[in-house]
Amino acid sequence: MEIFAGLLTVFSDPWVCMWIVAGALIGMVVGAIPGLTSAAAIAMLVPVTFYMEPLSALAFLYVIGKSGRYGGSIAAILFNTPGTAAAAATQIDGFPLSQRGLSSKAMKVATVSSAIGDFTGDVLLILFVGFIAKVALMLGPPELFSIYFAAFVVIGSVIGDSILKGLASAALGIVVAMIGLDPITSQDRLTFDFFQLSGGVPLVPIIIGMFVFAEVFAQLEKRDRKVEAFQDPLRDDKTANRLTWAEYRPCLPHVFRSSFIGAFIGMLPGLGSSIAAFISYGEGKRRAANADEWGKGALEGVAAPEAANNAVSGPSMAPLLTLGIPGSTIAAILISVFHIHGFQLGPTLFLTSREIIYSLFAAGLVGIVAYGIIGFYGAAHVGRMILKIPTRILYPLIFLTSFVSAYAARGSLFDVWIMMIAGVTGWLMRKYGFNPPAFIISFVLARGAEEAFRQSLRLSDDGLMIFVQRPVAAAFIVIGVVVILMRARRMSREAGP
Amino acid sequence: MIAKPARREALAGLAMVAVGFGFFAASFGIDVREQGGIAPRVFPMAGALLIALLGAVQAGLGVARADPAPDGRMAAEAGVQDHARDTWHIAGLLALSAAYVIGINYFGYLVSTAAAAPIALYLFGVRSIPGFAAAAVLCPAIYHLVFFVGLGVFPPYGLWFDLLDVIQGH
Repeated sequence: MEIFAGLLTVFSDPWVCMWIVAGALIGMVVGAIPGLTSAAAIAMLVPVTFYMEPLSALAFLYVIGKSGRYGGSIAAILFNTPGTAAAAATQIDGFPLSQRGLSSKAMKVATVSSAIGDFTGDVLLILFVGFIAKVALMLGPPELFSIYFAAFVVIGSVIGDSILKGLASAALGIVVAMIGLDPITSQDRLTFDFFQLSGGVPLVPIIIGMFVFAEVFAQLEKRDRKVEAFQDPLRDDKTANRLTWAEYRPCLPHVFRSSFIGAFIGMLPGLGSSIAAFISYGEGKRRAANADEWGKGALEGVAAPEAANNAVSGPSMAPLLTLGIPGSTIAAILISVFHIHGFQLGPTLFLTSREIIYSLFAAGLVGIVAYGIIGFYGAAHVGRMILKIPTRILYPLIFLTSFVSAYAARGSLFDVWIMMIAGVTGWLMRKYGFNPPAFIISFVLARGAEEAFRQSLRLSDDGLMIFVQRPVAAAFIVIGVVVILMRARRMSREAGP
Repeated sequence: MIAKPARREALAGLAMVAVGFGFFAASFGIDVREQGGIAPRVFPMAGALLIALLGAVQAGLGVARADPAPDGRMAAEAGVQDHARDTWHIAGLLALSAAYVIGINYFGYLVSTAAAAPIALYLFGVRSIPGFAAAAVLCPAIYHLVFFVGLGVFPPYGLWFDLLDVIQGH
C-alpha cells in the first residue's frame, strides 16, 4: 500500500515530476555518450542536489542511474561502442541490426526490454525490501561484519579481470577510508599532518575524481581515435523500422527470464549490470530456437541483455537501504545524498523514513515510464544529437565542471585537490587493470565494517571466535572464502598451464 | 627483453608493494592508547599489508609470465611515437589542473577559469581563436551563474586579486 501513497506523493508535486523527467533525459543522453557513464553524471550532479528537496534530489539521481543504464544501448547499437560496460552485450546483436538499416527497431526493442526489466526489478524490490529490512534488524555486529567481509571479497574478486588487482583495489579503498579521526578513540589516523583530513576523506570529490576526472584523462589519450561509421538512424526506412507485436513476442520469454536473472544479481553487492547482461545473453542464446542468428542481428539478442541490465537497478538498492551496503557504484554515490539530507541508511530507515523510501520507489516507476516513452520515440534523435557533440569540446567542459562540482560540495579548495589526486589515481588504476568501482564501494563500506568488527570484539569473550560461533556470521565468512577460492581456481584454469 | 604486458604486470605489482608498505609504515604513526589498545591500527595495517602482499604476488606472476618481446620494430616505433604524444598531453592536462587550482586560490574563480578553458580546449585539439575567446568568456560566466548565483555556493575568492571584487565594486 505504501507504494500507492508514494505514487500520490510524486504526482502531487510537479517539481518532483519535473526532476524525474529531467533525470530520464539526462541519464539517457549521458549513458549514450561513449566513455561517459551515468555514475559520472551522478557524481558531477551530487553537489547540485544538496540544494534540492530530499525527494527531488534522490528521485533525480536515481532516475539518472536507471535511464543511464538503458542509454548505454543507444551507443552500442549505433556506434558499435557501448556507452556502458553492460551495453557491450547489447552491441553483439545491436550493431549488426544497425548495419542492416534497422537501428531504430533495435533501439525500440532495447527500450521496451529495458523498461520491462527495470519494472520487474523494481516490483521485486518493493515487495521484498521490507522483509529484508526486518531480517536485517535482527543482525548484530558480528553478523554485520561478516556480511561486510563477504561484500569486500565479492566486490574485489568478481568485478574485473584480475582477482589480485580487484582485491588490492578494495583494500586500497579500505585504507583510504581509515584516514581521519578514529571513531572510538578520536585520535588522528594517516592524516599526514593535514588538519583538513581529520574529518576523513570526503566521498564526493573522490567519486568525481575517480569517475569524471579520470575519464577526461582517458579520453585525452584516445582523442584521435574515431568511432565506427554508421548510418543516420533518422534516414533509415521508417516502415522497416516499425516494431510489431509479432516481432517482439518471441523476445518476451527472454525478457522475463533475463529480468529475474538481473534482479537476483542486482541484490548481490558489487556484481553489477554487466555481469547480469552477459549471463542473460549466454542463457538466452543457449535456450533460443534461433541460436545461430544470435550475434548476427537477432532482436532477442538485444532484448535479453537489456532486460537484465536494467533489472539490476532496483534490487541493487536493497542492500543499500536495508544494510547500508551499496550494491553498485551508483548506490555508493547515493549514500552521500542520503547522508546530506539526514537519512541514516540501514534497517531502521524503514522505521524512521518509510514514506520517503516508498516515494523514491514510486519515482523510480515513474522514471521507467518517462525514459520508456522518451526512448521509444526519441532514441534515434538522441543518437543523432550525440554525434553532433564533438568530444574535443565536450570533455574540456567536463574537465571544468569536475573542478567546480568538487568545490561546490563543501566550498573547499582542499576537496578540489583531493578530486585531482583521486582522478589521477583512478586513471592509473584503469590503465593498469585495477578496479575503481571496487575501490569506491570498499571506501564506502570500510568505516561501517571497522565499527562492526570492533563492536564484535567488545561483545566477545573469545576474541575472533565470535565470528565462527554465530552461525549467520560464520556462513557469510565461509561464503567469502569460497568465492575467493572459486574465482582463483577459475582464473588459474583460464590462464592455462 | 621482457614483453610489455608482463613488464606492466610486474610494474603494477611493485607499485602495489610500494603503496602497501607506505601505508603500513604510516600506520605505525597511529598512537596506541590504553583506551583503544591497538584497535585503531588494525584496519589500516591489515589493509596495507594485504595490498603489499597482493602486490608481491602480482609482481611475481608478472616476472614468471615474462616472455621475450615480439619482433616488430616498426609497430613498436609507431607505438612509441603515440605513447610520447599521449604522455605530453597527459602531462599538459596535469599541469593545467594544478595551475588551475593554484590560480583559483590566488586570482579567484573567474580569471582562472577564463584562462583554463581555452587551454583545455587546445589540449583536446581545438584550434579556433574565436572558440577560445568564446570559452574564455562563456565558461566562467555560465559556471558562476549556475553554481555561485543559482545554487548559492560561496565562491572561492582569490588571495591576491579577484575579478568578482572589481565587478561588485569592492
